[in-house]
Amino acid sequence: MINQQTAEKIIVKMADYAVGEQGLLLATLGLGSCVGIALYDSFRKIGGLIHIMLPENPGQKKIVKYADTGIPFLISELEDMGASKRRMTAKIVGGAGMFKFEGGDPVMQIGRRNVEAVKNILKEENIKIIGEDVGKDYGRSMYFYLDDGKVEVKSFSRDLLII
Amino acid sequence: MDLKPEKKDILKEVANIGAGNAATAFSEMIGYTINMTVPKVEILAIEKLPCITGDEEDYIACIMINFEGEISGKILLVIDNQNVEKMLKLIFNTDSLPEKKMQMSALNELGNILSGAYLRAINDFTDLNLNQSVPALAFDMAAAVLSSSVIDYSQTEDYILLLETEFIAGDEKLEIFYFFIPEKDSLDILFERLGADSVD
Repeated sequence: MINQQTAEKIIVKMADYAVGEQGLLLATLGLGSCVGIALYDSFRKIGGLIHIMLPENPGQKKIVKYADTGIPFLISELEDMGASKRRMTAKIVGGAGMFKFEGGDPVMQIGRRNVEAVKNILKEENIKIIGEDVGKDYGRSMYFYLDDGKVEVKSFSRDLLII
Repeated sequence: MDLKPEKKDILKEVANIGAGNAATAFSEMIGYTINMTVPKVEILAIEKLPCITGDEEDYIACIMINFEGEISGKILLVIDNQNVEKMLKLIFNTDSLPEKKMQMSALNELGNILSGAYLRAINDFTDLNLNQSVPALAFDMAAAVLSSSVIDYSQTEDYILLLETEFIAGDEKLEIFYFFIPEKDSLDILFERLGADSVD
């Protein structure tokens, strides 16, 4: 059984992505309003993780920073490695509202908009979301195991969640 | 984004005046001497922001204040979560802290005082009118909090400009990271007002 200690690990930074095969662990740390999207072809055991910051690319900007350009890019990277889009499934994590005013009202709604955008794009691409931990008001780290597609979500205020 | 050394020096001077005033106000608030580090001016890729105060998964408290007027931007105060309680004990001057709501109010007040003093100094120096917003708070992983704080700037920008100072409070050397982040368009206005717009 591969776990965090034994697996070869790649840390995906904000506005970045990584792809790989069986035996690898892809992780992204401290998702706030950003969203991490894990795409997986369980037949070929090929997967990719992208950490997007915003819904829409205004044009000519870094592809993997935005959901609308990043997700299609990740799909084609995985296809280049031999994964099939038909078999791909998605797990999505993040999109929280981190800041609050004294009365408890949230400050910005970008997390929610990110989640909506990611869901819309995955729907357009015909990729089913089979697991998610999104929204609310806390930060999350995400660990994606390419052996079986399992995603662990760690946060300060909750128990470890497996999706 | 690029900045000539002359312009960087001018921003350092702005930060020095602002932070000096903030340190004095902070000292008056808690009755301890506040030391501050020499301000730094940094141009930072937004992707690097999550690690600016330590590790991505460090547990931090962050007070965020937006300011607007003739120039606009954000002020972020970051305190390691382990130090928050110690800081509150200094503020309340007691070992038994009041209820959570009062603690939040005290942190908001700390944000108001530090940013208010900083902005007043900039106003005196430049004659730019500035208003600050109500503070907002977040307690969580550094990366989650810091990335979310500037997300509205990152839509079109890949870099941000930071004026950074650390305040060190009391005998226990409690650190507060202080970041002043002007919006990109505001920089030109600031330089113009300081007579540095001709520096190229």
